[in-house]
Amino acid sequence: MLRTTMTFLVLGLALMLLPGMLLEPLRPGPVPAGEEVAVDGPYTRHPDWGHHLNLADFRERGGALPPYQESPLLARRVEAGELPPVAERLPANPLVMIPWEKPGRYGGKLRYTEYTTRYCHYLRHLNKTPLLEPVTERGACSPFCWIANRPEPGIIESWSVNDDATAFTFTIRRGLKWSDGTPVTTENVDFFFNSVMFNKDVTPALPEHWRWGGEPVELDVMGPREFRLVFAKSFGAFLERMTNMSWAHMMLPSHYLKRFHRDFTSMDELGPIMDEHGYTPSEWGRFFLSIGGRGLSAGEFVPERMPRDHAYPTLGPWNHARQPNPGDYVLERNPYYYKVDPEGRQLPYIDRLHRSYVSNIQIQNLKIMASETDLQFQFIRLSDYPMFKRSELRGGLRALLLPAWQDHMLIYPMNLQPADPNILPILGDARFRRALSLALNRDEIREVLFLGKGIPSQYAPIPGSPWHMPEFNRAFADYDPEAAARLLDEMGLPWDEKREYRLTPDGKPFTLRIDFYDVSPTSAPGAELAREYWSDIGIRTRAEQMDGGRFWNMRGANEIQVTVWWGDGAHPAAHSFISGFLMTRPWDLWDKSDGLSGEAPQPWAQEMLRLRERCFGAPGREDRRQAGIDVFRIFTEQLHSIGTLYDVPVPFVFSRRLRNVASGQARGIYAVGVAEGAEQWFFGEDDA
Amino acid sequence: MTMWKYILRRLAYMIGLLVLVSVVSFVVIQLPPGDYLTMYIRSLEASGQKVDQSEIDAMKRQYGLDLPMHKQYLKWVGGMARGDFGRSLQWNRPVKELIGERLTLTIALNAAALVFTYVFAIAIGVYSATRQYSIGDYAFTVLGFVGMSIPSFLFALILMVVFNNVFGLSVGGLFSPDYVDAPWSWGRVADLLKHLPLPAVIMGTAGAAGLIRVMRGSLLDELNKQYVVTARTKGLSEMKLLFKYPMRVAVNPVISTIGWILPGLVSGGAIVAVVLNLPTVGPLLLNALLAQDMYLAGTLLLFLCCLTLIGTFISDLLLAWLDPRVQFGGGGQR
Repeated sequence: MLRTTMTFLVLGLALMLLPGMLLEPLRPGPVPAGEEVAVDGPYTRHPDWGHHLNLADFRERGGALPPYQESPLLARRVEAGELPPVAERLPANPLVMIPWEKPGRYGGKLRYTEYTTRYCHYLRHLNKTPLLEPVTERGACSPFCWIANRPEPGIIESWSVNDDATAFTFTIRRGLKWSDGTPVTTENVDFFFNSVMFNKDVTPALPEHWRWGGEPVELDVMGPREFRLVFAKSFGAFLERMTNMSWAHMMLPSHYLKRFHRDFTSMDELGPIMDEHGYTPSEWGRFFLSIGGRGLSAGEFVPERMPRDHAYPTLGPWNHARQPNPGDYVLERNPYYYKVDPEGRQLPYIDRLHRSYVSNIQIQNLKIMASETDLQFQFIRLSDYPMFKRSELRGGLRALLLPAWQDHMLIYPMNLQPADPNILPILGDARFRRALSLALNRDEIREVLFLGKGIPSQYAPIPGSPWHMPEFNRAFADYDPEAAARLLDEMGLPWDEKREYRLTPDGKPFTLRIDFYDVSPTSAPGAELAREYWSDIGIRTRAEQMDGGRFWNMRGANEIQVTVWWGDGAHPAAHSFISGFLMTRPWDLWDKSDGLSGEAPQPWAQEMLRLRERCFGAPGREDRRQAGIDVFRIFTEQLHSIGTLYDVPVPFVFSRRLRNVASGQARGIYAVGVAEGAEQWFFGEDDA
Repeated sequence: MTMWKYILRRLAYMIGLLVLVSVVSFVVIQLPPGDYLTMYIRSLEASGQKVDQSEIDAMKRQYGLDLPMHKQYLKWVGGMARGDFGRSLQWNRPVKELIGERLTLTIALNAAALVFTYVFAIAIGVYSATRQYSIGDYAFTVLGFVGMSIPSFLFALILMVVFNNVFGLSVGGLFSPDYVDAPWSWGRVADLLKHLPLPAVIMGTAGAAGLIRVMRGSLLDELNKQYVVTARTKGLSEMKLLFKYPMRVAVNPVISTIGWILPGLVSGGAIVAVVLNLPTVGPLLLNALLAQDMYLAGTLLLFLCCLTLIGTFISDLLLAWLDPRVQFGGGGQR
């Protein structure tokens, strides 16, 4: 018997210890400091770094383009006679992009992984090609905080606006070509509007920006490169909006798409093609959409949703070349891409992008630890940063912390009109919401959830935003449970007998619900912390994590009371508003249905809606700035969401050989904003 | 003759069952609130992208989600008759192509896992039974219990890190980075063979551990029976004695599970495959269900049901063939 027990014990222990001896990276320990990143280059301190200049402007500033150069990959194809020489491929007016640090060299393959099939967020940034480029600066990036962006030339080389911001005249870049070499003209714009947007089979309903003021936008084609868009109402922020729109939102490769379009190709010819793809003749609209006929808008970042036919011409830096396996994509450089560096090299520097699909975040982390990737910057966790830092010392990767585009990674939006009649008068009272905000210990949240990073603040614009006002950040953002208690006393919420929890004004116990799903890694611990802080001031709270589907159902039934979300703090118009009233379902309905359903918001909220309208529409930039400030002035009074911290960073992991990246940290550029400079990234010869 | 009648009747039942299964799986996938598009939009919204109503309408049309459910079903079933299983909403590719691509690797992997399970379980089971209470028996018993009680996904994570750190094998997947995109070649096959043992061992461990116990137990039962003692006293060699009779009886529980193998070959080890990032059918099914990708999920479920039915059918036939007491037609003679 003794022998049996001993044998079991020894063998069992050996088995348990064996993996422990082999798993070096799982060992806990302090975060190593890592070395300083060298970012010196001729352009690091150049006033124009990151800017995009038309050739004429570049020359005016003393720049001179030597003869154009191209990637050896393309030079070989030119030699083989497959491509015209680089000088003929580039536009007559190429866009000069000033590098972040130094001009680069050609070649290489950039590998990254994603653990989702639903969207391809990396490509959305790496391959972004907006109609107007946003100036690269703190607080700017194209997909998200666009309303504060400052527009620069992009696909469109020049533009003018009339005084009341209803008519916009644009000129397409001279000599711009699709990735198959066909020139880009206003014919492509005309096709986009008249054959796709205004075709009911393909576009059942126009997007908001094309029916601004209630009427479809009007297109005047004025020449081969000039066109004008006329809106029914002032659309002051339209140029800013264009920094958020890729080429496919205004022009489509008609020469390619016409052969699939009913207006240009007879059904006799289309029938067999549609049949081959499993569409009946009555389903032409469906078929046209399936080949990417409507452009790539919401799905543009999802290569799975991209046209299967890789001959689909684009304007981006890299084109889809192959899908070796479902979920894996290889993109290859666009030989006709329109940007050059200040020394005349056609961009991008890197020849290929390679996305591989992994099934979960653990695999991704293991790939980082094994240096089997060159870039990871989205959907990776701050809490894993110490692990990345440790593997940095032995691997070929480097990890930085960059600002997250969600300036506020943890906010608590509230429903001001909840269905529960007990909660309604309580949550509807601004004093209660202020008390909840005062009860949060933001310094502690920062230590517990964000590795001590971030700056405690109310949910308000961050420094660098045109709407930033320090008093907005300070409003009700101190940790002051006594002031909170005074507010609750003032509201007349009595204590129960044990002085444990507060009751409703008529003496009934109540429980505030925090329902949420995992919109960010800190959702669950964030909800738990709030529950503790709020029970400290006598508010009984229940935090429940649920599935996203159930959450949105509850939201539809107006059952959400408090939730956990993120917000971007640079602008007052889009997300702060959405995630605020998003939870007050009756108001949101009222707003979206022009007052036909839902419930009319309180007067201050209606004023906010009017101000938001001005924030988008007013012709003058200063007017729009003032409207946004007024939005936040009302907000800090009413507090429909509670903020915790801004400037919470996310890890940005990249190959040690990758250049023109690291200076993003000192400049405070969003992680996604750094990724938007990808066409000027290059692989250096050695580890820096 | 009765046998043919029996087979025909079973086949007819199977077809009826398949039709039912197709309806049920299609309905069940659609039972959770929302559809593929709402899941898609939600994931976009959670990541910060605002999706315009116009976009949603266009996508609804593109994917045929604006049609009523019975029409969607008929479209799917109608296509199936022509060998068209519909398009996966999530991958925007024909379902047939998606499954086809993964089927070979899946079957190869699961077959490897099965071979591992049977070879090791039977060999170790026999060893343990014949050398009961030896050090070796204890060692294998400990190993067996550990193998049974470690959740396979945890085991997978640990082994993956170990293999990466110690042997430099690339993390996850069935190929090294150099071969992932390469067309099939001998080098790629060799690379696959290098990566196959790890997942096969992980997926086979729990099963093997269980089977060791079963083998050991049933063989011990047999070894203590009179006829074995008699044979031994008559001087039969130990090897011949073992394999001639007791083994045949002891292997019976293994044979009786053969009916489940067929679907297991395709969908086995889904969780391990997710953890190990394997390009097999299991994760495809899991993702399709999560994303409410009804054509892909429906087709996979139907396919698995089909295999289960065929598997049971085969094992019934085998049973009848092996055991004369089982009768075709069931005329009430008991």
